[in-house]
Amino acid sequence: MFVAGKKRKLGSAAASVQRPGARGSTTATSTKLASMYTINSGSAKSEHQQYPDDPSDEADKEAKRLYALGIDNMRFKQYRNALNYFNRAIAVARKEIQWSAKLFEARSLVLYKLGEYMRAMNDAKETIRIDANSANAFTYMANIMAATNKPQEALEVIERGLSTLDPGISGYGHMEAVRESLKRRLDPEYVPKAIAQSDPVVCLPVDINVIVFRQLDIRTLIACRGVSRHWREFVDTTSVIWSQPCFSSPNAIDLLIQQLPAYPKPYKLAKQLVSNGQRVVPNKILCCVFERSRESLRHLVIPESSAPNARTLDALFANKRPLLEQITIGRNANLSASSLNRVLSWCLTGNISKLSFPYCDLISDKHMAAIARLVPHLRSLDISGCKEVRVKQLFRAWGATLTDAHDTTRLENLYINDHPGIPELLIYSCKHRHFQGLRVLHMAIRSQSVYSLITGIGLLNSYFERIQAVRSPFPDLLELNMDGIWDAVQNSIRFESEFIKSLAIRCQLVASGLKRLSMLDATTVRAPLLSMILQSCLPTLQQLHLTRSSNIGSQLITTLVNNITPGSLDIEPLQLTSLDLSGCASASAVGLSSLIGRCPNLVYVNLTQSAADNMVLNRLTTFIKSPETRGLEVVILDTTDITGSAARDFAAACEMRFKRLRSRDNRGSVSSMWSLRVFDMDNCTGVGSDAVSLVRDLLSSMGTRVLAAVTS
Amino acid sequence: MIKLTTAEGAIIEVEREVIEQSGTIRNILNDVRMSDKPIPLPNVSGPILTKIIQYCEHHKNDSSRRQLKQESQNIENDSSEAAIQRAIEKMDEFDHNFCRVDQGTLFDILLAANFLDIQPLLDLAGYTVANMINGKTVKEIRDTFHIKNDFSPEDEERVIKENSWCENE
Repeated sequence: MFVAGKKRKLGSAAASVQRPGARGSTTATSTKLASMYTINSGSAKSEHQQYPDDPSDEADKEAKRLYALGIDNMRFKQYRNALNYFNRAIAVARKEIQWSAKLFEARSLVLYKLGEYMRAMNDAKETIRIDANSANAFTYMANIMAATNKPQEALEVIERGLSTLDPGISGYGHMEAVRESLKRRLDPEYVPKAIAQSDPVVCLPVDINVIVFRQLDIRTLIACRGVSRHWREFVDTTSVIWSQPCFSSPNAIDLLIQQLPAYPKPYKLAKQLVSNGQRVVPNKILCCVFERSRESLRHLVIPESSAPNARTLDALFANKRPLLEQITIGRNANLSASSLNRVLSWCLTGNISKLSFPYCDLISDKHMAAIARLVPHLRSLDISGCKEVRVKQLFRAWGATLTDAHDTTRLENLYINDHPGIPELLIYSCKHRHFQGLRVLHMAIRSQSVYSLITGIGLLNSYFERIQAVRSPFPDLLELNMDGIWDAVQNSIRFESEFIKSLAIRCQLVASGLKRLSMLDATTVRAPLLSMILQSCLPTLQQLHLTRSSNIGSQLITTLVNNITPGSLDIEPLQLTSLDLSGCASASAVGLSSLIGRCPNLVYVNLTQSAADNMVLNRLTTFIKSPETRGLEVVILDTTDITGSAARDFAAACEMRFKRLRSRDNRGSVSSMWSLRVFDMDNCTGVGSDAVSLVRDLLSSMGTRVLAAVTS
Repeated sequence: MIKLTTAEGAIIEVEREVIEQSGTIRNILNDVRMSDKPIPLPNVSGPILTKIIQYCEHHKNDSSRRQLKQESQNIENDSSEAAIQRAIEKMDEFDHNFCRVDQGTLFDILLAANFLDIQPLLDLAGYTVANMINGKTVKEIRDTFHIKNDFSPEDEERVIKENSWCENE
């Protein structure tokens, strides 16, 4: 079932005709066409409609495609080309259906523009024969007669149209305008009625309205849907107007998704809506976006909390397979199993380099096998929280793509957070070389509900008991995220110390060469282990996030710092740019300041609830004063023992650095501008209200966010 | 000089160089060569035609504008948004004042510019109308154009619900 969709081909794809000049615009109006048959498509019936096999439907599709191309050419005044397309469209379309009236209507206009009045007249008549409600056809007929010097007859035609048609239909206002100008022509004395209606949607022709509405922002377009029935119909059916520049850029969907929740309202409210499950991106909007970005789309995102139905997805695949490079299915995206199969069967090609399906219960072993088979060069995979994917099957599927046991896959980034099979992953990685090329591995456990599901820890232990020397499963690892995993281990089994030892010693998970290490909530990790882990990777680390560990004491830090450069006086600085030791209360101020003293390149430092005091802050002040350092941007010293005077010194140093850089910047020597973005000294009892206001004053020139509750 | 017949039948004379900014008239002139016969413009009334000639007079020296348009057409036809953007950047005092008219006249100008194929004027007037809509709420849009709310209560409720993900508080 999963591959079934892949075999089908749309008949129209083969006959793709494109004029080089109008490439970009083709997308624009093929959307118009596509939207035409999505009008009034109730979402209820569409889910199970597969690609139709009825040949007459195929003919219709082809006709609609040609029609769109014709309209496109007409918009750019290529009337000969347009005529050609309309002729072909009329040849394939079934005459009896009402839709074909549009074809004759359009051809009539083109012929009129080309000056072939007789033929134009015939087409206008044919239009009215098929669809008696076409206001445009009456207008065209009147125009043709006026142009052939028969204004009296033209007026009669328009009067007939005005009397028979419902004043609500689109184009009616335009008819009225034509009548006024005809009356004026026949009788120079006649004082024309000003356009009675001042509603642009009613009294202006569609092509002018397209020019107007294309310039509206998304929010206003959405508001326009609520103005009146005509406006809603116009906005919903004319997808050409959904032409925000962002829609046509390669990462159109990304931009839109970023815009959707945050666009009109504060981020907070948007988030609130998400948590209440109220925000649903309407299918119509999604459909428009998919259509507009079909050609240029490289990254498909099914947004969070959206429920695209089969018809919406069809908008994406209307003519051919998109050349996607990334697919992301947002968390809580309410995709049906058949829709998911459809996306995967159409999009999985060799071009895909990144797939992410976080927390998608629909993704199963079967899918992973297909992914491994169809996309052997995949670089990045996110299967966080996918309960239905079993690690054993994952390895089996990827193993099948390799030629021999020593081969490795191209996978570089693996995100397998909140997954019960993390221990299994480690066992298999030790046994097989499949994932040796990994650069980034995230196996954090953030959800408590996963704790009880974790399996395979016993297996891992018995494996390590049998085999003494284990080579490192991921020798090239640069980034490792093990947030919360220690807690999970402690909660689920009783051999936690064994497990951790296995991980660190036997498995050599924390390889030297690691650049980023994240171990949030590492509460149960013992000091010897920490020391071992840090010793191997500290010289290369750029980011160290190690929080709430009570075992990282001053002694450990001192040994670490001293061990790296044994005996040498010329101390090599560490490469750390981001340091988070919040909640590590047992590390003393001396220890912290000796560590920080070695890290002149720090940009982000978080020492919340630690023993940090003025000594630490003074170190930071020294860095700020030194022109060679990169410059701190975020300093969080929440609940620490710093005092007002030290904070003031720090702020003064920051202000001086900022001023100095700015004056140099004016002379054009420094291009990038430094500024302190956040300075947090909340809950610091040593900082008085005077000091806080002074700090605020000093930092106001560079727009720093100063967080401080004023304590009396 | 070129003679033009307005919808009322009046004849207005205008310099060829000025009115050639209209694609429609340019085509007609190229087709018929030079002749003294007036060109009928059945869709354009006298007052509107006078206004449009005013516009063309003011912009007759903007040869760069025409070049720009041709360039953009040669390179890629889909850059109509970019063309509009450029046109907006080029707007001057005259253009701003030109569009300070009542809605009926503005719509007539739009229709005439479309018929006469004067792209910069079409962009300018279109931009003016767009500005009348942009950033407004549903009610403000209805007030601007005197549009009656013709939704049935159920329909209106549905639209409000559909739009709720993007509405102001």
